[in-house]
Order: sequence, then structure tokens, then C-alpha cells
Amino acid sequence: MLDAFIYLLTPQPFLIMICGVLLGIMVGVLPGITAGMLMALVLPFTYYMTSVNAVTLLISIFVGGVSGGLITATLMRIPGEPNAIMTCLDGHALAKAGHPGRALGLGNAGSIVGGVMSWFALVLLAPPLAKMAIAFGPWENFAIVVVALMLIVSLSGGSMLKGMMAALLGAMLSFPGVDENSGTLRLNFGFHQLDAGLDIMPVMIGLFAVSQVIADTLNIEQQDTDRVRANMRGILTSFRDYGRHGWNMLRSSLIGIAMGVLPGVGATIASIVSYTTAKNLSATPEEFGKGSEEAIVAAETANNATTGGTLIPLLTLGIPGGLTDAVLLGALTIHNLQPGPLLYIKSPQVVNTIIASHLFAHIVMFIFMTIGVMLFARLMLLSRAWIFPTILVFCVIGAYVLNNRGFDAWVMVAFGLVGMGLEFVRAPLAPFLIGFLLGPLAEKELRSGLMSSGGDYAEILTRPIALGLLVVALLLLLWPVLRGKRRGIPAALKIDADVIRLPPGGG
Amino acid sequence: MALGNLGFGLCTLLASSLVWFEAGKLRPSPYDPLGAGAFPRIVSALLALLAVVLIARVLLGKNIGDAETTLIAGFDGEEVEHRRRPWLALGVLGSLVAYIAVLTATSAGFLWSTIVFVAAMGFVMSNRRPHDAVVAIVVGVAVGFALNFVFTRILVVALP
Repeated sequence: MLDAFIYLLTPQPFLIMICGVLLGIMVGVLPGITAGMLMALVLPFTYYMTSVNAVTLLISIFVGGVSGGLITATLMRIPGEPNAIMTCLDGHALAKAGHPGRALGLGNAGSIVGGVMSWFALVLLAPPLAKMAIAFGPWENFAIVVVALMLIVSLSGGSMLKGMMAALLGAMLSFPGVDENSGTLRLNFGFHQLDAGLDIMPVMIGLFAVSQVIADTLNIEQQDTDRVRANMRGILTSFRDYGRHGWNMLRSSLIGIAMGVLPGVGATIASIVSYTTAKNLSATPEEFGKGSEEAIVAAETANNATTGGTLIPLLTLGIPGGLTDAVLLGALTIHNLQPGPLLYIKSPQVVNTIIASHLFAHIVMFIFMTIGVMLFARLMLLSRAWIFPTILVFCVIGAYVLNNRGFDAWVMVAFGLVGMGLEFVRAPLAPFLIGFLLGPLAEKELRSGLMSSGGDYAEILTRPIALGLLVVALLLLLWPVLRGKRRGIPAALKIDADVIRLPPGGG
Repeated sequence: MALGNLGFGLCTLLASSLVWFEAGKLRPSPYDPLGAGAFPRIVSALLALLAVVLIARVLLGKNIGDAETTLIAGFDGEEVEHRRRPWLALGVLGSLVAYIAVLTATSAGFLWSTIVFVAAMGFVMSNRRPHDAVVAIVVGVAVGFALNFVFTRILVVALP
């Protein structure tokens, strides 16, 4: 691990990390452009980097992006990133009361504490989990994928039916091309362009960048009418502040870490849950929504704490919990690295770099967010009319460049339409993406298990861990029935709709 | 929304049927009990079953429910204070398709296609005042030349 820290301090990776954090904060500030979108866009170009530099860049963008949304949420009451949605309420109210620096400082303090706490969780929890997972056979791995998919479907909320359909649709679209188990060409429907299958990058760029730009164009007339001028007064928080909000920070960090570990939950829900919990436990709940310092700290600590939590299932089980993990998975895959327990043995330097860059990126983010906030705030004034066309050009280059195939650019457009279509019918996109990524893995593990058992499905019932996981998957499937409701999202994750009804456009 | 849900159900039913029949043409090898076609058939059969359930619920007027989380902000049907621009969004999508078609099917080249695309899209998305046209051209030329230089000279990447 020490080697990874020392490596990150050498000029090239250090510069990459600074660029990544800066870019992440910048896209976090710009409403309509998300860190996930930027990560998907830079993913093809990481092919030209070493694997450790590639993950350093992506982790830095991830951390910067999660944090940057704070600025727009506080000064404009628009979440620059969706996870800053709760910060809009109290951050903006405090800024409007004449304390924008204080609001930004508290949010920044919460972000660094949440990030560092989640780093500790990553360091402490990931290695033993990986050690345990290394003993798993194909049946256990298959059962883990099934549980991950069921979890992401049930936590997407609203409609289990649509969630399951989205996951299966995603899995089905991952099948065309050469079957890696037998070498058989399948499901190309007579189009030789499909012989190589659907590459992950045009799929992700289409789903999350193209469709987001189109959605933002739809809302391009949204104006910021509630802007507050930034100032630096109060941006530096004192030790007393950390002491006063210590318990809140610890609790919010734990919520963020737990929410990060669960596939499909992510930073937005973590900040909502943390905000609600802080309000319920606060001595002054009436202050929430009116510029409460507790509220800002709770929301910002929790969303940054998800960054470490979300890396735990990715590194130990190879299960991506959301878009950013999916991009990281893609980056590792294009460098011929398979996330999962074996990564710890085969490429420990990559694992250590991921963990080290997670901590360093938070420190760099904290420094930039403290000294550069005035500069970042000016980015909010940039017209989206000049940014969106450039993003679309990047989308086309990103989709095309890895395989030099024009077909991939069309795949990107097609998946942009799929993303818009699913969003239009309010089918959750997260299960679709995770289904696309994990479908081939589920098939590979099931077929390996069947080959070892001579085609006997019943063997999975003789493996206690696999059986236990399948029971969990079944319970998740039956959860809405057991609760006597048809709503999938747990009540604890809910919050009054009017509390989070904010101007759209936060990307 | 019922019509949208019905469309979603029918589209997934059609897609899963296509995959089911196509996967049925694949035969397993003696060493692989499942074969290349079995898993796609399992998935497509499950998807078709769920699609039928969804269609039936829509036709019976039962509640389907909607996702409560979103990864793409701005498509929700909630009322907003600003004017939405569906035709602009469609125009941008159409222009993107045209841009890709020009890049992949003609010899216009990346530089000039990009300048025209960025300038035209920028102007259309702006307030369309005369000085926006000048800014659009400047941005288009700057973006076109900068990206062309970065990708062909620094990263040495083949552009479409």
C-alpha cells in the first residue's frame, strides 16, 4: 500500500490525479453534466494509459464529481450532481442568509470526513471479504450475481416488474457476439458488425452521456433565478466545528458507506437517508430546510462516504453497484484485469492504487474546494449551448476510437434512445446497466457449475453459501408481497416528495 | 403512461421473441450441457413472461408503478416553470445522427464536419442573437481544430 502512495506522488500520476479531481469538480459544478458521464467519456482514452494511471484518473474524477455538486447546490439551488439534491435546501438557505462561505465550508468539511471514513471502511472491509470470496466456486459466484441483480431491482423502487424487465433486457443485449465459453458465434441476426458483440463503451456513453445531453437540451430554458454570489468568508471550518458535528459526521459516514455497498442505491439516496435521519434525531428539526448546518453536514458527509463503500463489492466480488463502478469495471476490463477477489492476488498494485488514489483524491479535492471555490463558482455562468455540442463530439470520438468502428457510434446512438425510452416509461436504468454487465458473468458461472456437476442443477442446493444467497434473492423477490405492498423501496429510504421537489436540470 | 407501458411491454416481448428463436438455432456441444443458446433462451423466456404480465396488467387497468430513482435527470413528467423544448431536443438528436453519417459514410473528414456541427448546434441552442452566430463560429472552429490537434498529433488516435 505504501508503494501505491509513493507512486501517486511521482509527477505523472500526481498530475493525472490533479487533472481528474479538477475535471470532476468542474463537471460537478456544471448542472446537466455528471461525473459518471465524464468518466464514460474519458474511458476510451484510458486505453492509452497504464492500468494504474487509468484507475487513478477515474477515481479522481469520481471523487471530484461527487464533491463539486455542493457549489451549484449552495449558490444556485440547483444540484450540480444529483447527490447534492439535499444540499440545495439548507446550503442555499444558509448562503442566502449571507453565509455562502460558511455553507460551502461546512459541506466541504463533511465531504472530506465522509471520504476519509469511507476510505477506512474500504481498507478494513475489502481484504477480508476478498479473502472469503476467493474460496467461492462457480455456483456461489452465480448466486452472488443473482442476489446483486435482485438487490438492485428491489432497491430501484416503484416497480419490481419494470426493474426485473430492465435487468433481463440489459442481460439479453449483452449476449450477441462470440460466446466466450464455446467460441460459437451467436445472435448476430445476420449482421457481421455484431460478431464482436456490443462493446461496453458505446453502450455506456449512449446510455448516460447522449441521453443526458438530449434531456438537458429539452430543459435548456431552465434559468437560475436564485443565484447567490460566492465569498470566502467562513470557508475554513474550525476544529470546534468538527467537534460539534462529530457525531453527525460519524453517523452520516456510516449511512453513506452502507448505502454505497448496496448495489444500485448510490450517493443520492444516501444523502436523502442521512438528511432524514439527522432531522429525526436533531434537537432543532424545525431548522431543517432553513439553512441548518447539521443538514448540510449530514447530506455532504453521506454522499462522499458512498465513494469508498461502492468500491468494496466491485473490488472484492467484481459486482458494480452503479454507473461509476460500471465505468471502473470497464476500465479494468480494457486493461485485461478482472475485478473480483483474484484482482487482489494477480494485480495487487492496481488494487492498492485504487485505494490510495481514493484517499489522495479526497485530500486534493478538499484543498481545491477550499482555495478554488470562487473560480469554480464562475463555471456556473458558462452557457450550456457551447458545452453540449462539444460533449456530443466527445461522445462520438469516445464510442469510435477504441475499435475504430463507425458501427460503435451507431450503437451509442441506439443505446441513447434505449436510455431515453426506459427513462420515459420510468423503468429503472441501473438494473439495465448492471444486467448488461453481469449477464455474461452469470452465464459463465452457471455453465462452469453445470460442467463441473455434469449438468446437474441440483448441485447448487448442496452448497450452503450458494443456497443461502439464492434464498436471499428469493426473499428480495418476495419482499413487496411480504410487506403487503407493491412498492419496492424500503420505507426508510423514503422522504416526502415536496421536500425534494427542486428545479430539474441537476445532472 | 399506460400507452408508454404498453409500448414497453410490446417492444420487450418482440425483442425477447426474436432472441428466443435465434438462440434456438444454436446446438450445445457434448462437453457443455447448456450450450451457447440455452442461457439467452432462459433470459428471453423470463423477459417474455414478464412482458406478458406487464401487458396484461396494463390492459386490465392495474397499477404498474414507476421507478423512483433516475440516472438521467430531466425526462420526468413533472410540471416545470420553464418552457420545455422537445423539438430542439429532437433536432439535436437528428443532427447527431447526421454528423455520424457524414463522418462514417462520406469523406468530409473530422475537422470540417465537427466545425459545422458544433457551430450549428451551438447557435441553435443559444439565444440566436446575431452575436451568438459569431460566438458559435468561433467556438466551432476552436473546438474542431483543438480536438483534431489533440487526437491526431498528441494522442495519435485515428478519428472517424
